[in-house]
Amino acid sequence: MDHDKFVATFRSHLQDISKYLTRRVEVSYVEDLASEIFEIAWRKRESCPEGFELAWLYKIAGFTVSNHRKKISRRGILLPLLDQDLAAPSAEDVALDGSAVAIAFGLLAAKDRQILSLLVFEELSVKEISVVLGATENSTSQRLKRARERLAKYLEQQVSETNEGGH
Amino acid sequence: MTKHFEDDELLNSLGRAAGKQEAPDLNETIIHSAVTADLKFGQRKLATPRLLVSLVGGAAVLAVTAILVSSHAPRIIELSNLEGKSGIEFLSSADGRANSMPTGDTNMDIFIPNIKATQSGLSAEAGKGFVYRATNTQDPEVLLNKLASYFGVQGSSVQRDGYKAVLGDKHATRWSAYVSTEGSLRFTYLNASDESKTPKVEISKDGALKVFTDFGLQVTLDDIHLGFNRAVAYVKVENQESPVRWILVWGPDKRIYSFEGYAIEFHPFLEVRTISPSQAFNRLNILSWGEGQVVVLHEDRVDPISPRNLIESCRPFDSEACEVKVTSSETSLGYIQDANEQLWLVPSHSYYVGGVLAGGTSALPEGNIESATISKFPNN
Repeated sequence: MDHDKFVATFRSHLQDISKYLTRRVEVSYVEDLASEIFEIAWRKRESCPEGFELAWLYKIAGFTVSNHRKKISRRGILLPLLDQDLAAPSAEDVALDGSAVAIAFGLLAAKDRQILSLLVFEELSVKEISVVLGATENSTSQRLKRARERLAKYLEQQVSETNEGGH
Repeated sequence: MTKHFEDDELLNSLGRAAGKQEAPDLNETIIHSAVTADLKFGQRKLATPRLLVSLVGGAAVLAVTAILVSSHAPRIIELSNLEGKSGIEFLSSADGRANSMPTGDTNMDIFIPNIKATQSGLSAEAGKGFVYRATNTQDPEVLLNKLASYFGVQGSSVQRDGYKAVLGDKHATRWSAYVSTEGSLRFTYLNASDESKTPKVEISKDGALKVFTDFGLQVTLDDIHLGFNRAVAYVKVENQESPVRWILVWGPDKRIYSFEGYAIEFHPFLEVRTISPSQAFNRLNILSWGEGQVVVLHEDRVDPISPRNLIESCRPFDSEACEVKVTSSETSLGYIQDANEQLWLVPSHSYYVGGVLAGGTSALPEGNIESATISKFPNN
């Protein structure tokens, strides 16, 4: 992929990357991180799967966000096990409203937030998500199913608690 | 772009719950610059890698999962054993919540699939160490009342297995306070509102210190790690920082957006045999640096090189394996949460590459964590 084709291919994804980053980091970091993402993309362009360019960019973006969060934490080495997937957006990051489903999303483990975000907020297909995660489609489908079930479970709890509070 | 969950009302409702955030318009020059930057980058001689990789877990070997390392060197007294066969159950992903065990199938590993860790000069000497058990410093009920009062959460109280909560808005649950029976506490303020009584706190170490100490965390100003909009402090073990953290996050209006921590303290629980750094090191590769979560880290205080340099220096996308050599280690403590959400610290080894912390493993003999039931250990 030469320079022109690279630009032509990825130009249309600039705003997608901006939105992805805005959901996960302070806005002031978005441009710098986007630059980093496209620099990595250029260097690794030969490994970009044709037809899945955006998913591949999200894969790089997830990695970049993870590193960024560790970098600003000053104690990144200690974070990964507390924040299991540092590329996952928190409920605060995605500026969810205060509804019960938003609370339920916030209660999910990071890996569940991550995979649901790719589906709901990034609006990727299962195939595309599997590219982002480096997993098979079948595995991705199963993970999505489980994440959705857990979201439903927490939502049910929230609704139940809300109803109890109302009595 | 097409939604792929059109018929799923739950996911649609999640999508509707997301606010419309303004994402910056990025200029196309970013893409052009990426090419230029790479040309410059290729001409630059890479520094010796200062920051390498951290293996943070894997699902295959329970004994070394859920380990965080701190620089604390535990006191060594005498040998005891950890015999027991009842089977500690680490938090599994059964319910996907509060799972501290990375599963190894996240998106991290796919970026660095071929890193191989080797060791040189690590000690082969076994040793001894302490298992520390966390105990609550405050009654959960009292703590919850304090948390709710402090952050102005007024509303309905609920009780569930393992935790109690006060929900600030019984209809929309916009802000809430939770305390678990194991001492974890959490305040969340999901939606800024004038009606909130959440206090405004100065974004400073002093401001954070007051909040932390108000909730009983014994730290000083020097123990506060202040970031752009957050402050972190760590529960101490014998005057050293453990990996268990408290975190306070400010919103743009300087109100506290979220606050969480553990109202706990660690006490020596049992003396144990430990395996040598050289032997425990093998666990890194047993888990496989490729199959576990391998993360390239950046260490500001050592050398402000960018993660990109590290990635490039290790060439993780190349087909051939990248070898990193661990050359030193030190005794440390790892953090484990068992099936009952009881927190423990166990002897661990931290590994260094070029003087930079690169990862850690449990130092407990094989099978001890996996097969022993810590809750059945004799009390001190």
